[in-house]
Amino acid sequence: MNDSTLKWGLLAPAFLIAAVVLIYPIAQSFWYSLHDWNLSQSPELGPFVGFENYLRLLTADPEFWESARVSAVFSFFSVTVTITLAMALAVLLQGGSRLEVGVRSILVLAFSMSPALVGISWRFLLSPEFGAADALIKWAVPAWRNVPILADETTAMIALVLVDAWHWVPYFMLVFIGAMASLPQETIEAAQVDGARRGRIFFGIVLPQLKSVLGIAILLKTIFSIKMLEQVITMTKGGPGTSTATVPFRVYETAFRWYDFGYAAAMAYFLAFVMLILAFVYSHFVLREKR
Amino acid sequence: MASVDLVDICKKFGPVVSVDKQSLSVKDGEFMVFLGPSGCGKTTTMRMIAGLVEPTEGSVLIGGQDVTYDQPRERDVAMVFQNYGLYPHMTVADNIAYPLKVRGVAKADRDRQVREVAAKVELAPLLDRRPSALSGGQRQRVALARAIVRRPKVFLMDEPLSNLDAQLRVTMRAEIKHLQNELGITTIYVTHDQIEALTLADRIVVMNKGVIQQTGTPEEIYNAPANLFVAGFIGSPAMNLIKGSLRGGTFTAPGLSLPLPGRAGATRDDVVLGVRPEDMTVAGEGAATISGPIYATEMTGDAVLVTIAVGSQRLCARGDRHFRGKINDAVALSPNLDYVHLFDGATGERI
Repeated sequence: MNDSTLKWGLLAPAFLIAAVVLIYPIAQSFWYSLHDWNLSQSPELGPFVGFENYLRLLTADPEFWESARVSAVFSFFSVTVTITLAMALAVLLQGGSRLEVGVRSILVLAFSMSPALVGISWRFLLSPEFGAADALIKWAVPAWRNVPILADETTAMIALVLVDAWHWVPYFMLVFIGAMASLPQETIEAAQVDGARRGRIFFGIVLPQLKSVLGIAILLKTIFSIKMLEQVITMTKGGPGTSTATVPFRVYETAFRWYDFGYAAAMAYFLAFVMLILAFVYSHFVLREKR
Repeated sequence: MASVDLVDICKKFGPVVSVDKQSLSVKDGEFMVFLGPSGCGKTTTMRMIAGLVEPTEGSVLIGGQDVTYDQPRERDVAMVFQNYGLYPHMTVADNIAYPLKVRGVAKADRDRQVREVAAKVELAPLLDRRPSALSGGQRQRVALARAIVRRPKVFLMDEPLSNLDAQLRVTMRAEIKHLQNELGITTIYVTHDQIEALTLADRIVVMNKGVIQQTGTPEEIYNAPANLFVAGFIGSPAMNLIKGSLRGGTFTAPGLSLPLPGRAGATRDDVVLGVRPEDMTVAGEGAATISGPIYATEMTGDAVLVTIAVGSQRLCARGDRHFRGKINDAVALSPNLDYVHLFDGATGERI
């Protein structure tokens, strides 16, 4: 057996598994997206309609664009809040003292929870009848005494953003702490001796050196935010009205509530396309960093 | 420009004592070198002067002012780091200008001063480059330029040449010495390289295990080491140290008997005799007081190092470069008795 045969032979099982578990479902769902197939009418694949589902999506479905707007709003704020808080906490907790390590470990518990569980827990915590967080908020902000947090368009979105941040901040905090630990300590000490204050050192010396890590974190979090589904299902079910119905939630509803599989697949593909573009940008960042 | 004084300075990291209650004065304009093996506390001492490490006890004075608890930026010192500590996202010009920018110097002024300093350290053509596009020697120059651009009270240099190759180190050594002489700024320089210390320093502080062993000019340190540590640490090849005793002014050890001038009648047990290889000449057998078979000869180019076995000890002498002897040939070594040192065997102190 020559080298080349051996190489391909060793890789073959991996390719096979990837083909079965990745490529096949991806190809199949794309195939579905080209059909008009409503599961409630027939268990058989419906008639082939070409790109009609995509056309409908782009030209004749204002509700989809409304959900795209909701997704964009959610993603923008969840990325901004998450990355900012994560960086702030990373700066606060980057040291090695027992307190810092302890707080870090507790925070990471939030990330270790499954997103669906996060949503359910917060739904309970924010319940107007018995939620502890709800009671606390109303005690702290008397003006909100009569606002049902998850039943008001604005506060529901804020809650969704903050709960998402609560879940993701520890992860990105650890990423940033790791990145800061790998910065040459001497550049910071040199800036101290050169006369800079702490704020100036952070914005002038530390942050510029974290630029590529920060870029990658923002892109990753954007992808995570765009495809976030669990908390919408468990906390708001897209409501009140459709004010928190994100694109993934609409895909989910279309597929599993209305059983319009063909159209849901087309929507999912559209979403995947957006994320694919982001993924390209992301890998471009990573590759450029390596060069 | 200013003097630097350390008063009973002490630094503990948990149970580890890094610097143990040491006092030291560096005069205004002096080039002082901290020399010692790794972990001797020399860098910690320098970092306490810079304000990067807070002392556990004691105080640091710069120009007579107590700055022990001042921030680094309040001390008006400049530091050159072992790995240069350049800002990777800034050009060479911005790196050099940074201390001025932080202090609010106007842009036009800044540019002028950067150009002046860059010319001084031969960086002028490289001002637009990033540090990553520079060689080690060039980075070293940028670090130096950044340190001298604002004429601080004190320069601190933490093993600045240790990342350069041997040849460049010699060139940069001369440049640093020249610059310091020209600027006349008090300089504290940390190194573990004795040649650097001896060539650069006005005075050397030899440290070991957090304790200052000796402070003195390079001549004093070399010619009159204060104790066994300094004697053994300074000099290459190392000083020969022979355990023995003093009997009526004569040093005796197994296979060795050496009358010492100026020690007439002195008697003492447990002493250590120290003599540098370069203070001994190689003679034919019987001509001198130390003799034995050749254990090894090493040609170094400008000399031949001859090691002989005496009793259970080995002694090394720096012989003429034309000396040719075979292993086990009997030879004698004749020490220059003006440069023979005696140390107390128990305390290690010079007698």
